[in-house]
Amino acid sequence: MKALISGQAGIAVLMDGEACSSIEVHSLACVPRAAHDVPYLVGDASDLIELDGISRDEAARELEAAWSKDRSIHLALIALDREAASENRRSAVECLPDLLKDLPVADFVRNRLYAAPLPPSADSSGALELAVSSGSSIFAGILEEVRADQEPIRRNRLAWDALRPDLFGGIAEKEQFGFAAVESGMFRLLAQGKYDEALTHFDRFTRDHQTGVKWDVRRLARRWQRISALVEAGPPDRRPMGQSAVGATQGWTAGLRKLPPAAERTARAAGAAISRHRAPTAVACALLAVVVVLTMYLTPVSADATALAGPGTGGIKASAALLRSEVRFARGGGTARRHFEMAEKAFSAGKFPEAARLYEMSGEAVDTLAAKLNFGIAVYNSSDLPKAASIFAAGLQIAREERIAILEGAFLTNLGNVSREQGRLEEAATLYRNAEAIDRGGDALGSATTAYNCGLLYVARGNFTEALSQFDIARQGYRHLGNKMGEADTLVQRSGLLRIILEANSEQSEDLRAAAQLFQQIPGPLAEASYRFAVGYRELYEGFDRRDKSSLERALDELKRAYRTYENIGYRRGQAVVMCSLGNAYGQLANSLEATNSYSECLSIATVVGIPFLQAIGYSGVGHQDIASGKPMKGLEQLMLASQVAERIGARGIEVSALEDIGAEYARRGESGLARTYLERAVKTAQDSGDLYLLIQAVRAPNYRTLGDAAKTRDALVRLRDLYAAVGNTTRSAEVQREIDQCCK
Amino acid sequence: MDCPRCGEAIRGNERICPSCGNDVGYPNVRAAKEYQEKAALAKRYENALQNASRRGCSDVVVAFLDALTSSVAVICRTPSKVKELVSSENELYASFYQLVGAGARRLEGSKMDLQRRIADSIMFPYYEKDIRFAILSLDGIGASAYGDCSIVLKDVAISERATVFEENSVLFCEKRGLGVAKPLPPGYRATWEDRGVLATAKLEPKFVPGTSAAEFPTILVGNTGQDFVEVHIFGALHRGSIGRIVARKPKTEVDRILLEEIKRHKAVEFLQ
Repeated sequence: MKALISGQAGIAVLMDGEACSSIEVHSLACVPRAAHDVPYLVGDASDLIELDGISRDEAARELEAAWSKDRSIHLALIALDREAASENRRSAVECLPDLLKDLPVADFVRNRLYAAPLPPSADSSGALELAVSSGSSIFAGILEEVRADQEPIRRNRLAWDALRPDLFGGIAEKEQFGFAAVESGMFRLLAQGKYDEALTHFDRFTRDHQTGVKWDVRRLARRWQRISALVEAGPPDRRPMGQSAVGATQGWTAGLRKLPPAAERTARAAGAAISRHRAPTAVACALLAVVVVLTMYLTPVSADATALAGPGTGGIKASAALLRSEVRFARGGGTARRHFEMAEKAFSAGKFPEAARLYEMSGEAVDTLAAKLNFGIAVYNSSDLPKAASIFAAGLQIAREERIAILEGAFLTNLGNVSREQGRLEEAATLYRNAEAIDRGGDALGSATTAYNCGLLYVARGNFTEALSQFDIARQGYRHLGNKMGEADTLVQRSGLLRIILEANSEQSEDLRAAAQLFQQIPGPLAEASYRFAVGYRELYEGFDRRDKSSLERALDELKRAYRTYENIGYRRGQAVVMCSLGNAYGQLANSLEATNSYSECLSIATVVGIPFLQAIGYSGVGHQDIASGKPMKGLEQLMLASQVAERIGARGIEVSALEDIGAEYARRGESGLARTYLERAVKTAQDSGDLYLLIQAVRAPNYRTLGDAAKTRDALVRLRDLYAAVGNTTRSAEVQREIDQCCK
Repeated sequence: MDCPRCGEAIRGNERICPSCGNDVGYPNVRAAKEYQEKAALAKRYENALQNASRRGCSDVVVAFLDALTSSVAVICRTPSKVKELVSSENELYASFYQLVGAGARRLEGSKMDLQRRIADSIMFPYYEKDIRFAILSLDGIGASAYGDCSIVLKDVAISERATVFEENSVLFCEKRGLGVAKPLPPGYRATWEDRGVLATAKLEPKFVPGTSAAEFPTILVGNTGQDFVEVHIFGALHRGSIGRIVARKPKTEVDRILLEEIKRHKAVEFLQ
């Protein structure tokens, strides 16, 4: 016989072949039923279970147990309800001992009360007093236990809500798992730190209730626990920056010795650029590489806010699930959810101002951290950096007060991004370090995103070694997670660095090609623009390396398309970056007028939005073009501005580049004293950065021979040789040695 | 039908015009307003009146029709279920009670579920998930075989979105062997406004010249409380949709406590 049992409906429907009957709780009478009665009898009961191969007596016992469970949780909640009439609360407490003397019923109530923290409307002390005074010792014991464990319960629930539904196979599957986790006592046991016991209970429950287990329960429970532990963690300790940088540099140096053969070949082939006759080309190449890589830093990627749908989601991004958990009990929750969902759609479509407005409306309906976080990100992408900073700072404070470490990490990272954009690089570094300490070990996506953002920061500071190391970590993390957008963005950033580090283009072209392929698979205007950007940059590099005009024209075409997309969605920062890139392309095509216009437009947007790093690049670009078009004084003035802005914010890469440009122009004009001053300043700045690759670039750039200084030429070459050796580039080192031998003959 | 605003064809299950976004009405109400439905129901009603006249009980039938203007939709449930409904916005219930509902096992796969699905696919093609069931009642008492508490829904909460049907729709389809090849015959459903017409057309044979108004409620829900006029409501019901609750005297102390709590939220009348 089969039975449908609901304690809530107080009925068991018995089905024996075609025959159908029902029994009510506390009654032995069996009432004949028709099939069409069944939906009316048990259709919307929320505790319906179906048992196969069961006798009538067994069904009656199961019904009794189900009824006791249903009524006991009602009574327990009435006892806890501050708003309930005191007489009724007392009656409820007095009824409970009879029901709770049955151990499974007591466990049922206990397990339910461990599923969430007690809300403010619960009067647990009042309920406990009633339980004690009425002699309901079992209920009193449960209440004492639950009261004592409120903090682990809160953490456990927060961690549960933070687990993404896709880990379970979808929202419905997560709910199904949650049901089994509550009923089996897993929630309770995990909150009590009894991991193995929780797994055993879960396993037993799903077996007894024939729940089709399709999850890796152990892995999910472990992840759940990890998040819970993260929630528990307080504000992270600060890690000394120097220690991190030294460690990473050493690691990278060792890594370079194991360059793949392809990279070695590329490096060898590019070695000829050091020869005397081709020195100007090498300088130009280096300068372009710096500008390009620094422009890459500004590539408008979706990962920037660490919270767009692609990279930076997961542990950092405020998901709809997080919002749901925040508004669950709030009046206006429906409105908040609706606006949040509409905002998410607008955000995905790149309509950032609209998304910002909708997130704000969601926050007005119910003030949630989820809406605040995403509101800040949308405002950030709308290029209102001061407002974004203020939103993130407010959110950070609340997240800290409420000790929600994951959200604290998210606000820290986003605040770090704003600081980075506003040129406060040290502050950004501190914020990222703090975010990293929260994400480390607990959230792979959060860690990858923090690594990515740290990489961008290191590029800005001219610390290419550390930047590459961070991008490699980010790439590995994103690839492991199957996060295409994150991987693609990281590849684009990495490609620029490879150009500086390997002084060649093959790997970097491969990275851009791979990135373009990934972007192509992602829907939405941002991915579309990023795709155009990656393709455009690859063409730009190839056009430059092969002196291929058609490649450069294709680059222009792709970059213009990217620009149009950003213009359509009102992404001003994106527009500025593409303008800068167009300036690079026009510059290579010797179209100085268009190049200057492009850089000027980039500079103008950067000034309005308040991105000093981009301003520095704009000044540098305009200055370079002014010189190229026969306006040296004006050009020098622009380059000075570039170096000053870069120095102020600690952007050593662009500062070195600007100083080299100034030195080269003075050298060309025969003003050797000024030329030496600036060139040496460039070297010193690079040296201070502690980055060997920036130093290589600075030492390699000056052409002291044009200044008639043989001793300095030799010293520079010796230093360059040693630097190449230090980074493991023995081929280049040997080539420079040959040059030394030649020039000292 | 076509959208009255833009002329685009509207599917039976659509409430919003996919072309212009116009609200074209609740699908169940639109179905009941179809010309064939209304014409067939009018014919049944006319026949009922003629029969009543022939049997000398026209006055009773007219009085019944008049009484039906104040009929209500009622859902019968246990005190536990009612408590759950009226506590839907209580934080404690949201935290600990409703939490696990999604994981409970449904009727899926059973014969009963199959019959319900067949009936639903005939009655509410592609919008069955949006339909809630109730029964038509004159005294606020529903089919008490299905639960001791009758939840009386406010007229204003359902009048625009409710329709009525001849009887338990599963039973109706089962008795007539309806299915893909044999669709629902017209004349057995009506708008909320026309609920009296449908109930009269159905129940006219049950009246005799001496039938008193006091008997009307029982006649409407059937002697066994199961031959009722079924109410179909489009969309979710909220605790605000509940007007009052009519309850039998509780059988246990626990249910008494639950009913006391229910009284905090909604008016409860106890049956003697």
